[in-house]
Amino acid sequence: MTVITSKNDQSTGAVPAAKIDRQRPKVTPVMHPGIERFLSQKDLVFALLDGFGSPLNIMFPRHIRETIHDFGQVYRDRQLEGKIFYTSKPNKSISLKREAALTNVGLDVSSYGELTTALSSGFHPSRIEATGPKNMDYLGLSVQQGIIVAVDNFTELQQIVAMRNYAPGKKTRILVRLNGFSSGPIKFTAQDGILGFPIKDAPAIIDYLLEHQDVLDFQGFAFNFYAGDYNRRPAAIEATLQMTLECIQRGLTPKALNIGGGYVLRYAADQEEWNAYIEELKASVLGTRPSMSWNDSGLGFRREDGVLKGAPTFLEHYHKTSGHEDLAAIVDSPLAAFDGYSTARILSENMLELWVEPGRAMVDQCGITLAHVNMSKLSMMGHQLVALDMNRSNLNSNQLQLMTDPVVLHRGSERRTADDGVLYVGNLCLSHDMIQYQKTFPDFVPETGDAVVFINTAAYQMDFSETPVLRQRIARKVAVVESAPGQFRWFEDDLYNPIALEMGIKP
Amino acid sequence: MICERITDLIGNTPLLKIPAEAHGLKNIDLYAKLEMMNPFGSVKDRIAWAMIKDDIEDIRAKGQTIFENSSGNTAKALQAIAGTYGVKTKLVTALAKVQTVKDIIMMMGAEIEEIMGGSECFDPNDPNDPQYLIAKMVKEDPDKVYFPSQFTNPKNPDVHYTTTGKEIADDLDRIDYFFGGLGTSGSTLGVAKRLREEGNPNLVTVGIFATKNDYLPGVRTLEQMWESGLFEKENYTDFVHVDSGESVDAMMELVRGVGLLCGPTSGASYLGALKYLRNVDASLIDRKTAVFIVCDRLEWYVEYVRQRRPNLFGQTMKPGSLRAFTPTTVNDSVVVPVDGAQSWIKENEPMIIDVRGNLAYKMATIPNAINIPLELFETMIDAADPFPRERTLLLVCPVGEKTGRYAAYLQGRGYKAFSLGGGVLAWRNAGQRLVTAATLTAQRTSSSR
Repeated sequence: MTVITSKNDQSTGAVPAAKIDRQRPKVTPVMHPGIERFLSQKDLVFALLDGFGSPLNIMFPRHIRETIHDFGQVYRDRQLEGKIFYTSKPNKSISLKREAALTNVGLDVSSYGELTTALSSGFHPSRIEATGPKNMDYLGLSVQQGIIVAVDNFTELQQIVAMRNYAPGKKTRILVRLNGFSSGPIKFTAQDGILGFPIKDAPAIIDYLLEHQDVLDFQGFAFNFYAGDYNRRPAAIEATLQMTLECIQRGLTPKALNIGGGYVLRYAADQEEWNAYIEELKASVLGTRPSMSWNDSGLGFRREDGVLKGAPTFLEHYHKTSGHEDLAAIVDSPLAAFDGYSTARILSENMLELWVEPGRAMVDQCGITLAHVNMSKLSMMGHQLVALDMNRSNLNSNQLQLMTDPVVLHRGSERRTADDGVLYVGNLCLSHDMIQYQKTFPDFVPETGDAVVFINTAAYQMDFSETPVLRQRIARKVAVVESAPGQFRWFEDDLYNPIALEMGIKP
Repeated sequence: MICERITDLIGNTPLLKIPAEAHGLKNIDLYAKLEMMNPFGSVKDRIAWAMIKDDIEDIRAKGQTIFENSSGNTAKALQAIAGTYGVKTKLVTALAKVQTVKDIIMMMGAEIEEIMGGSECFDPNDPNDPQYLIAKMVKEDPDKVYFPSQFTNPKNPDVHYTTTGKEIADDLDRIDYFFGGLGTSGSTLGVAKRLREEGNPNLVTVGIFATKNDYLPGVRTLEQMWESGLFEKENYTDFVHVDSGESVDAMMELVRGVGLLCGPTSGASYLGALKYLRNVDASLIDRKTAVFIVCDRLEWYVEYVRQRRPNLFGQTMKPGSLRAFTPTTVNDSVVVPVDGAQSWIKENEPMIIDVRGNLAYKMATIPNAINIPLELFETMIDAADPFPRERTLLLVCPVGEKTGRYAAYLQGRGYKAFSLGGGVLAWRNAGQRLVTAATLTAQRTSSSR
């Protein structure tokens, strides 16, 4: 079967469809040029991996500045006032936070531990927002430090009021997180949620805020959606904007609308490649090509009466836009309830700030995960396995699979071709410790001692579920900066001190 | 020609021969099957009627609502037909992305339910599939829900076999190539089967797909096709991928060069046909015949086209107009700084014009300001001389950016126009008084009474 594609083959970065090897489809990861330059220095990479042990997470703190700049440009282009809160939860790295502290972004934390880390990383309390469910330690410290508290429920609201005497100036800045939006003639299929107040409680919330104005310094409403939720977000923006204006009319002085996070991150470099890979995966589930997944598990897809069913256990890996462009599209799209004016325009005309909490998108290209190859062998059914000195807890986020091909750095010169692809497995004494459930097709089989590098893992994957399971190592973090083109300095993550670096003082 | 019911007008659409100078093929005659000529404007009119024809009296008697998984055209046709029987329809979809389409369907009285499709954070228990959800709704309330299920209903390809395919076969002796966009795949399946049986067993059938992550109304990507119960890959000789931007370009060739007011999906089929046929044209010895489907009409895709080809809507700029004006520098001669603005206002007694939207003006504005939202204001100063030239004007916007440009432009035309530096935001931040428009106060008084 020939497939003629519309894509201009000369277009930058695109792999012409004709050149895609559908027998051995690849998913090339997007890679920051700085990461490419780093990986090209094999001696350094092997020295770090050998010296710190496998697995190893390498952070690129400088890269977060580029993303912060891009997000800021969305504001500058629209004369929008506001705050960008870098969401702490996708990654524990100290170096990233120290770097971000030197820019103008705030930090969105969601636990007591993240809050103390934020303070010690250099964020002034006025720049920190505390989100998520809160115990008394977390809420208490937030109030004492004058952190902006995104309140999740009435209990928290009442606790803040009760803690008035511990707050600086006896006032606490708060956001009220809403959820459960619906709008107009277009209805949404019900989807239950855990976080936030139901929007139907808004009148009671406003009454409470008015009653406790002496303690609660109301900054505005907040909500949060996952990336790609383009249907519900406009309805949420409309509802919270209307509520904000109602608050102003009733005498409150909200400053901002916090539209949360959920901006896309592009993992795969090329759309045609990504399409081809997924098409082949689906074809394998339908049985028209050899298996592409471990035990033919299908990554969420299954065959039912000859038809493909199910939903993927991985994110969309290719997007035409990047995170800040996604934000721009959201604030520029017209709102039906506001005469077709955009969110940006309504906010700026009403002297309201736009607050956002990019999480995943903010740490784009900020980290990679490396592991040694322990050995390669064949599975019981003859599939080529490559066993890594890491386990699935080192590369995991909410069960979402990373689908891009890892980069393989070979140590020796003897090579075997990997014609039928390989499956990466981990070091746990379990029969299904898969690092990736899908087959990938490197040119050569990675052998003992080689390094396998997973790209762009800072957003949840490297940090979200790591455990010392079976007393295996937890990955160390090393921060790498490119001091001059092709010249790299490295630090243990928590010894990275960007102020000292900028001042030229050797730490 | 007199018809009894609107459904009598469904089908028997003409074939239009695309002029050779438009497509440039040497050895191939290319015909367009004008499904846009159906009464509700699309190829889906046929299947909508075919799927409910036998049951519609029963649906009415039971007081059922018709639920369908559709990105637009099927829902529109179902609603149009059902409406004549007093039956309601509900569109359940994850693919209805063209706002105008949704607006028209709502205008016609159908309800729309959007599925939370494409959520990036995967929840393994979320079926997230309209087909599944409607099936669930049917199960929950079988007496009240009627689900034609265009993606699995055999009446979909059947009606194209018995009508669309037959009509084409009756009009042309032999067809060598047949092109259709793949949505439910019902039309290509039914038509191709008929054409093979009636004339040419070696018919080349080419399916047109949208490039993944792109959106063509009513057309799916190859991987979405696996999810249509009707799709049979073996039915197609080949597939062509097209993207929405170039499909719009091809559509415009048909609109401007052929007078065919068709939609972007028709453009995609035309483009797919040309991409395929240009590869084979030169090597042909005999004359060949090709047919593609023109599935719907241009009109409701205005916004869709505007997003992808904004240049088609560009008006030429009149010299001397605001659009053509680029200020060299917005300097002190134009800006009134917030410090001292009060005394400047007292001295010059300007007409203060707040160009923000009316809602923002009502919420809070500068004392004595009137409101002319910027769309109106721009039109006024572009097309007319709305203010006396001896009267001083103070223009106010959110941060002083837009009004800086307006004031510079108006000064160039001899007006005494100035911009409040930093706009209403700087005014507020300087602690200057803001007022709430009287109308709003009145509303509040009346509502609190």
